[in-house]
Amino acid sequence: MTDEISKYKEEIYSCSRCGTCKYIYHVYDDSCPSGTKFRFETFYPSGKLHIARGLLEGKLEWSERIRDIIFACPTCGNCTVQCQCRQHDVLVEIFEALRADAVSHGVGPLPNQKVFAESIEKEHNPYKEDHSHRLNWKEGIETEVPLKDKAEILYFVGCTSSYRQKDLAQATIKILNKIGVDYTVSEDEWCCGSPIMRTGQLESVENLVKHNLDLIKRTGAKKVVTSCAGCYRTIKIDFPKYADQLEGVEILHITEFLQQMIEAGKLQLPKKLENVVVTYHDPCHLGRHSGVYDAPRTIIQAIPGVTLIEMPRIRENAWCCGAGGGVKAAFKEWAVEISNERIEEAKKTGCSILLSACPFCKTNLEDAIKETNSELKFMDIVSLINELL
Amino acid sequence: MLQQTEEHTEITAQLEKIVGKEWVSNHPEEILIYSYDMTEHPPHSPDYVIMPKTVEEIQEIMKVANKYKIPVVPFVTGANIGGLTIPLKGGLIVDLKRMDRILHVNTDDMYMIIEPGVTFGHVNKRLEEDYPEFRYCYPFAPPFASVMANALLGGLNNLSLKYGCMSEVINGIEAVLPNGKVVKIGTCMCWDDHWWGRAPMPDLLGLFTSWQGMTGIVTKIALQIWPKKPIQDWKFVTGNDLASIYKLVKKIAILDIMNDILLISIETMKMILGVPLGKAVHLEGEPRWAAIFDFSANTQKEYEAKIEILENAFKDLKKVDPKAIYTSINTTIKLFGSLFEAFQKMPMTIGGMLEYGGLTWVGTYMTSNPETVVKGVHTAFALIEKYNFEKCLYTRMMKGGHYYAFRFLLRFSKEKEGETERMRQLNQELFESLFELGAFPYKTPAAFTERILERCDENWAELLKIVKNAIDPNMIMNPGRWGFK
Repeated sequence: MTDEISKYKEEIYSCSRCGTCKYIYHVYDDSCPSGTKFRFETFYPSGKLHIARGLLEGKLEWSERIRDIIFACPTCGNCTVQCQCRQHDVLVEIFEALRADAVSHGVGPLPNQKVFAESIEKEHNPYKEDHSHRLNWKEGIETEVPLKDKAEILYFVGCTSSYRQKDLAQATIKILNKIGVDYTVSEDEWCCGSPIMRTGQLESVENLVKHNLDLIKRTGAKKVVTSCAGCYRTIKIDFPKYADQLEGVEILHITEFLQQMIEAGKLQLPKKLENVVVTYHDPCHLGRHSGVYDAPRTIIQAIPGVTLIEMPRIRENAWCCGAGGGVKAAFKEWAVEISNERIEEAKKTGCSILLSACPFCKTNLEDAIKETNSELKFMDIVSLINELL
Repeated sequence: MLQQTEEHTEITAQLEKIVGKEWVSNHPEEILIYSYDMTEHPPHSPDYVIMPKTVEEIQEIMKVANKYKIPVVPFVTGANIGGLTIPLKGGLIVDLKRMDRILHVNTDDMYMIIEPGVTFGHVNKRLEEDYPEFRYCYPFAPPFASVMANALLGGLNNLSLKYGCMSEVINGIEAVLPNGKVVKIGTCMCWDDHWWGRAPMPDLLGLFTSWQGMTGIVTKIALQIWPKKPIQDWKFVTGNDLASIYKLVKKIAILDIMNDILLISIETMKMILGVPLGKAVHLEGEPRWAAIFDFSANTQKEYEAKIEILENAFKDLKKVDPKAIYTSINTTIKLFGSLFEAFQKMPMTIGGMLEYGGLTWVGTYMTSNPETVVKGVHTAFALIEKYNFEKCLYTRMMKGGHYYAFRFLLRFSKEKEGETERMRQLNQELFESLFELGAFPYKTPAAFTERILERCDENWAELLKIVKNAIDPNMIMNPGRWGFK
């Protein structure tokens, strides 16, 4: 059963295992969290392509070992930048196709990732939380949270901000209220499907996509804004694979939206920081997967009193935080190990605040900060902006 | 393959004890991936892949391999294009990637000491960051090939015109012998902190260069580095007559003013430019050959003098080949695209060369005699045409013109049925024909060595056996090569 990877046969056979995907091209730092950790050829992006080739040729059979290799990857997409050959664009797609085939074959996903699909099916979120509690993050918030039938903007909160990183949803609402735009949130929002798409559990994806698209259409929103990099990538890039494109609806990450507001003069930051050095971590789903690198930097540079010092590996070469692709659920310790490397890199800039724009990055980078007793402070951009308004 | 016996279980346990369970694999996935490389050479499965981190671990691995008489094949990235890490008799692939430290850079005597897993990219990074006044040299290979393997296997790169093949710039090594003992060669045999040379003492380095891992595992190597000159430039010449452009190349090479001179066919240029597989062909009206001159200078005057010499030589070419063109690298980049920036940004990956799954060559060193070179090109082109592959000639003048690197880069699709076998036949015929002309294949594939052993001085072959038997009596090191079963 290699239905999904068969679609990529030409690209799979393109790989000669030259090894260029293993490190940052012309910079020579590590790029692949999986290969860097496990070191066997099989764990590098090229190795995974050759596993796919082995499966296509019948030289390999689906096994737990294959499962462990193909799921030991945060699908950060760094290899899609470093690979200099024609298959580079679709490497993550191939890894996800491998995962989908592993699931079809009954060997995948890893146990902790199975929960995503079960929970989404039942509660429309991957965290086994009661769907009726989706808006519980509103509790205690000292500002109005609009629940309108129609609005110009739909704020798509996302499961992680709804159930785990509630402060991000709260900060985003406060910012939107202070700017004074016509927006709404919906109690009928379902998981965007990212956790199951990334782990090859595609059975209910179409249903989720349809539901969320219907929701967007019902609100009449011209803009969908999300503070979650994972939701953003999924709605913008994956939804069109499963349904017709949303006509006349702009999908924006909150950083893009805030950039628009700053440029339109609708967002001013009255408070200032006192000579604070920050650095910025590009979330994979926002940066490499979606190409949004400048918006967060524009916002950071608009903050009075802030100096942005960049890490060596940024933008398309950014080292992944380690949370993506189901790694945080299945390989807890390794996920934090990947983040530790990022924290060390951030510390070397001399910054006091590590900024990012993704609830998954927040979770994992904060875990690493805690584990290493670092004095570094993590903040999502929305939290910082909210504090300054 | 080792049978699943009690002994096999015992070996597994011993290997795991040495390096830790997570660094030994006999899973089908690793067994498959390490059984082949990008070339046409037939695959063969290892029994284990093991990844040591220290010299001591390698010593212990050797003891186990000797005890059970298991083949041992050193590996870093497997990008040698000679099929040299395909374990012809199974056994242990010793993947040395974890030994990836640049241990020391000595700026007085100008050398660096590195471990096997260090790649060209990492050397470049370290020198650029910490020793920007120094340089190493880079082959026409992906950035993440092993620097040590390139040197030990006598590879070539962009200072080969000055220094010859890269085994000539080795100052010394540390190696683990098949019996587990550690040996040092060069001045480091007396002093741990002196790795500046191999003379004047009996030079045993030859026991490890171009032996393809058949005498031990080299764990440290000292390689020369050189001062980086402030002015660096490249000039391109295209021409239509092979003998005339080669004459220009040879004339400049022996003057000792260039770092590197390449002579390639238009098909190779097209491959570099990303022309799809099968489409890199010479078209009517296009120039046939291109020479690339890589040079540097300490002063503007020196630079201008070199330019003057090159331009005068080009005028001579122009007299016999009126359509010959002389351009700067910037013009070449403007005309042909940014892929030619690769020459300025070594080490680099040429996507067009590597993106069809298969890449191979018959790479040889041979005389720089003009008639032989021209005859070699015509002979090889006829064979390549017969098999309907691309005529990608890639040659390089070596060591001031003392000899010539003569090779054909052959890309092929591993997806197309029968193409790998066809490439195998072509390469065998190419080898046979070029060998008759006096061309000796470097990184010699096992498929060619039988013919070489038939032709070579029988006393050389006997000495080879004596040495091998003395060092590796159980024949555990990379067996199946050079006639050693």
